[in-house]
Amino acid sequence: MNTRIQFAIKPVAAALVVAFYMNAALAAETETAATWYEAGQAALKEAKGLHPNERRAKNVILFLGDGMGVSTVTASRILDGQLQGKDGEKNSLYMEKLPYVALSKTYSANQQTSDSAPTMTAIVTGVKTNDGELSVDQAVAREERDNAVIQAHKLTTILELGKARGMATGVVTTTRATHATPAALYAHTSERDWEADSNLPAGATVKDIAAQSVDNFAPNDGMDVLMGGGRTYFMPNTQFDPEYPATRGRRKDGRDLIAEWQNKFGCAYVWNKTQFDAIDPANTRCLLGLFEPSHMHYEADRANDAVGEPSVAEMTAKAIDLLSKKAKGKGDDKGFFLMVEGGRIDHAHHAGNAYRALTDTIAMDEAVRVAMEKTDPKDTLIIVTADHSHTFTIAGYPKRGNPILGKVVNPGQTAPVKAADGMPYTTLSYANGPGYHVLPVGGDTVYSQPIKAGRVADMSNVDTEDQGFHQEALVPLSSETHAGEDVAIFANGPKAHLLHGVQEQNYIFHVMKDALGL
Amino acid sequence: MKHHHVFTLGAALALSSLAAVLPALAAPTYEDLAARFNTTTCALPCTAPQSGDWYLWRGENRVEVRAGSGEVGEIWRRDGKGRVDFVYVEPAHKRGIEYNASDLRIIGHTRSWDRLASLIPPAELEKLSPAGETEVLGHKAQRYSGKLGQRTLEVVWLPDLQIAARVSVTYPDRQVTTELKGFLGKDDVAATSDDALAAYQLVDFSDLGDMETKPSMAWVKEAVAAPGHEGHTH
Repeated sequence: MNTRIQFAIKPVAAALVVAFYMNAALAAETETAATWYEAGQAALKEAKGLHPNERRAKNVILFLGDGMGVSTVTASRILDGQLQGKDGEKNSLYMEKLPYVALSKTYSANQQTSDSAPTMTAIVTGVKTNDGELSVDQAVAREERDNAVIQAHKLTTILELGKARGMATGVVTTTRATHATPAALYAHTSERDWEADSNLPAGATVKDIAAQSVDNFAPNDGMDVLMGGGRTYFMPNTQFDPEYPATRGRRKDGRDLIAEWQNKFGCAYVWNKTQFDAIDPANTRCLLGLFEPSHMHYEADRANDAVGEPSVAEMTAKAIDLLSKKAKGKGDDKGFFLMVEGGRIDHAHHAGNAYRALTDTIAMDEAVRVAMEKTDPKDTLIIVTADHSHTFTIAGYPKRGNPILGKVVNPGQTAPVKAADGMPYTTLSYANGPGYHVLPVGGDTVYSQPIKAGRVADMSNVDTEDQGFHQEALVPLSSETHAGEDVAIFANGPKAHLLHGVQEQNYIFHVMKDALGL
Repeated sequence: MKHHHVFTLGAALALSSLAAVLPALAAPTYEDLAARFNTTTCALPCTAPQSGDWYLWRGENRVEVRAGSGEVGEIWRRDGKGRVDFVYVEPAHKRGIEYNASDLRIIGHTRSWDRLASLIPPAELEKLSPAGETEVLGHKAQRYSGKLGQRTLEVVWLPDLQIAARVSVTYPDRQVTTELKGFLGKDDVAATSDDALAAYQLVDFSDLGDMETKPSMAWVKEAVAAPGHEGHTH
């Protein structure tokens, strides 16, 4: 398990708390006007040393934090530092060490605040489209059933362009492998939820997403890596899941897509950590890994999986090793394209649970570290971005070093500050969603938790840093929503300097394509 | 008018969550059981009791409860490793929402298997005092009573079936009583079979946030009894 997060999923030991406050205090003690000034000068010197890398990229690795808005990055940075007993505010995530940054405008063709389907379509095809649609243009109506219409309006993805040039290609996610973000790379459909044939409406001729992962590719020429969850979407409903015996496949058409992946492409298939660990990239032609019937676990819950799941960082490492070998095996090294998604950041935000959103962001950042270590910035373009944001905010005015998941304590104070209603409040909150409720694990809970938006309880004696805590929300909605502000794009490597300023989201595709010389 | 059903089923399940989990005794075995219960709840002083029937089907690794109307229900399943998952179902519409163990943990909707299977965990029963024997529907029964925290309990326990035939809990402000009304025969309403469930329109709890604006998923917003995703139509 990611050691940065191990701390988070266990009760924080008193010793760690002491160490944390000592470090924060020491940081404050050693800071002077001179140290701030010198740090600024050092950063300037480093910036002046940056030179645009105009080479052609051999490889591109695209990291996508689903729902990872700027506030999520900031809060994760602080939590990551605090969990290590360091100065959280000064801490930098690995993605933040990438020297080029831009902002991405995430609206879609028909949405001011968009969902993951059109945003990922924009990122990987260079064209914005409508809500819920994957790699088809905006002339297609959502839930269009006619495959002829889909084929007439499909958009070529960066993965497909790479394959056409002979590059090795891979997709890694913590969601189902058929979920909107990964699916946008290999499937074309008018409805993101048509993940298995059982999801298709009567009369639909468009293929479901899982089937497209097989049918859209020629024999022995499929994607080289596909890893994530969503096993049951590949299994006929006559089969029972190997890990959860009460769970069946979701396919009504009788197709066993896992077997088809193995037979058509010659891929190895793994569904648990032991099998995953046994995969030697040097001896593996291609790899299908489906580790859960639906989404993979949140990082905070991953250790609870009985048969084990790889982390997103471990999947990334395996994918890079396999894709590198595969690319080199094709004679002249044609490089690889890999997309890695931290897909459950979004789900945790929807549930109003900042704890898991932040720990999943840190887990994806660990994958970024792995990618940075395994590749050379001279020939590999690494991009880290998000598809959209969430209504997640960081409030004022906690003192330096205040626990990011905690209640606001003003500078110079030790007790939480009270709002005008006489009650404390947390630094993190949401503009909408299910809102505050304390949900003790394994204890008494009422059957139907009503939505509790706004200021519903005095949290003076509530542990807001607990994994089950749900931050307050202003507008009562059963699920917290995406947000429409821009998201960050971090980059390094060939043509990374082209990612600058405020850009349309679809611009990212054009930079990747240009960098690869496609 | 879903409130009635939610209330009834909710009250029944609340009974199975009476107190914090106690140290596990020898694991009881749960024989197959199909029964109809009735739960009555009343604010004290009681002037307007509300009650409703509900069904329970229990197997060794599966517990299903369903409101008497048949509109909503819950299916709890555990595997050999003790992992529990959960499906909220609307049988009349053949649809439901699936929750895995992580989902249940994130929304705090966890239950001990003993509570699900017996309404009151045997370990909790041991904290009450025996209060005589009786008979319920042809089964020998043991009465228990006592006070746990602020709750006063009266329980009629069926040792051979490892289930409570009656649980009456008096809180400071209300009283909740659940009673076994009868056992179900082969001609009565049946549990949801695995085959039937496989044909349901099932959505993953984690995906609900991305589905709320889809017209075809409007039912999700109305699924006020689905834990962790309660609508606000009330």
